[in-house]
Amino acid sequence: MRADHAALIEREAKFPTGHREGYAGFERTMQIMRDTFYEEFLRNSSQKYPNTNEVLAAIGDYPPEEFSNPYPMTPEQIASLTRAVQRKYVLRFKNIRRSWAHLVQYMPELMRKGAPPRDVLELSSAHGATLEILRHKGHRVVGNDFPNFLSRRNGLKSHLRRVNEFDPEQHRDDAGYLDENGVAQGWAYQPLIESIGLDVRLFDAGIVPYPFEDGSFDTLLTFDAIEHYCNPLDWIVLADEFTRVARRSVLIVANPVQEHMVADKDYMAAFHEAQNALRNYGRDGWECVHAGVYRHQLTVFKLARYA
Amino acid sequence: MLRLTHAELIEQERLRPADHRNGHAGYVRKIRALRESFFQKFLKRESKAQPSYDEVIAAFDDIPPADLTVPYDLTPEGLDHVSRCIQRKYVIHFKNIRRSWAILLQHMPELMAEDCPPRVVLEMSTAHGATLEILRRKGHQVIGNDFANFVGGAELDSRFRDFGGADLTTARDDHGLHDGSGQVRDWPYRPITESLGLDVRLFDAGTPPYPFEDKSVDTVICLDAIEHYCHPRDWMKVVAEFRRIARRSILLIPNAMPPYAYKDLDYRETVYAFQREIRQFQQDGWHCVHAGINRNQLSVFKLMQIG
Repeated sequence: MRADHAALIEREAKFPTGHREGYAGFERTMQIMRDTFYEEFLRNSSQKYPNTNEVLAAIGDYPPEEFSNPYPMTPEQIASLTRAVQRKYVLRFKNIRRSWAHLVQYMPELMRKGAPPRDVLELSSAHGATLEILRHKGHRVVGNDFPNFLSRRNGLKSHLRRVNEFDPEQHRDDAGYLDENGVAQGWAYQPLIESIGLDVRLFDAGIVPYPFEDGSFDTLLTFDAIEHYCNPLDWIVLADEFTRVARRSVLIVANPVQEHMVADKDYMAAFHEAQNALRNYGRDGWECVHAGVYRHQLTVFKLARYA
Repeated sequence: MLRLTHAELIEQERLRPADHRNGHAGYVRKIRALRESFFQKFLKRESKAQPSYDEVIAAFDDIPPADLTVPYDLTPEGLDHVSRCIQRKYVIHFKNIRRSWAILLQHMPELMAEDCPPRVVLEMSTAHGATLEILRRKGHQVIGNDFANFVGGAELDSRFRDFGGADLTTARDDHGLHDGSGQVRDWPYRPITESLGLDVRLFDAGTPPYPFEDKSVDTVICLDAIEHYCHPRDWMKVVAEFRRIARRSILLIPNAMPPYAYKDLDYRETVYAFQREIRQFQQDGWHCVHAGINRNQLSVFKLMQIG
């Protein structure tokens, strides 16, 4: 039987971290895995891309026990989430592990012990795991979300539109959160985000400028989301907006191109041009300081400004 | 199986540039096709392998130029020298280039960017000099470093000493290039880097201070070499010496722990302690901005002066 959202949350409460012995079992697994993972390399038996647990094990840093408690949602909140969010995203520790693995690799300066508190904006914060972690590390965090336009009923193909293209007459989100003026009156992850008390601002990240002053944040992050904002032809316009809003660093991790888009030559040409522009980024002291091949594509870009 | 000599490998590279039957043009075609087929593997869930160097180059669509496929131009005396002192695989010019190119694209994109400002780069343990050749082509001012090997074939072993410990100049090295008189004149890769006209400074990287003024270079790069300098308990001291010299950034990639070191629990734990310390490093404006898993271990560290 396929467990529903509520059953998954119940299971997480019963077996924290998904390990039958709970957090202590998870912790032991991590400690052993650092060695076994490396032994695979020594035996030349594997050069596989590390999974989330292997990243955490290799780095020797993993989420503390408090994150193994499920999201503290009421039955009504769970019911609302069930209608709007994929099942896999209701497992808090799974969300946390994935974000933790990203952050320790790409934003170690925010994850270190005793890191000075920074102002961080995450675009498309979804379940908020990245923000929960950074809040736990003492940073001041702001999230962003917006009702999405993924359904066939909707006239707006956000992945193909140019930046700042939006028509409230035509563009209806999947769940009816947008009112007749195109203003969001709610969003899919709202019950979950409210259960953990995060500050999430609703605005469409494909429309610039964003509602923030220049240099409002130390760092801006966007994971697996930029491909929903606009056509890759305009990703560089978004990158300029990111570096306007941020003072120190920007991390962009794009999703892999979806299978049905790979055959679209125009889209792929725009995507390749965007990759090229981002890794060559150089403006106002900003430079691309890491360009990563992740999920078999160049999709990780860290921009930073030297002191 | 026929095992080619150093000289035969160089001749083979001359006959078969870029290790492709159609030479560099064939290699370029192969890499262009590889970007697509590499990603198709991901889409088909066939492989989640760590990308090979060619796969990284393909994902970036940034290919080393044809003039770097020309074999090393060695005199008979030089060929004899490298045949005695270096592993066969390192005499293949384009293989060395591809490896350095892939590492630089990912971890030092700001030095590989189109029209990037010229920087002063010191590479420790330059060896065949491929990293410096590439950066020189990109318009940077490059300085190398090398020294004879003391890793088992000699009376001293540099890998277990303190930083600033045993004086290597008075000992015989693995290949008999030193006479123990205190005068240091030769090193294994000399014929190759001389043929390339690179500025390589001879000094022992395990003995501070290095012969450079404070903040005299923009970037220090050290690939697969720090484990030869001293015991890992002192690697943070090595990094402190890099920081003294560098103004902007440091890229440090320790080699994979060899089996004998991995089996030594003290050594292994000392490496883990170093990993923990450097990934959380923050001092005098320096931050660890990327902590990467390579060869199934946490072994990529980029430090920079961040704004």
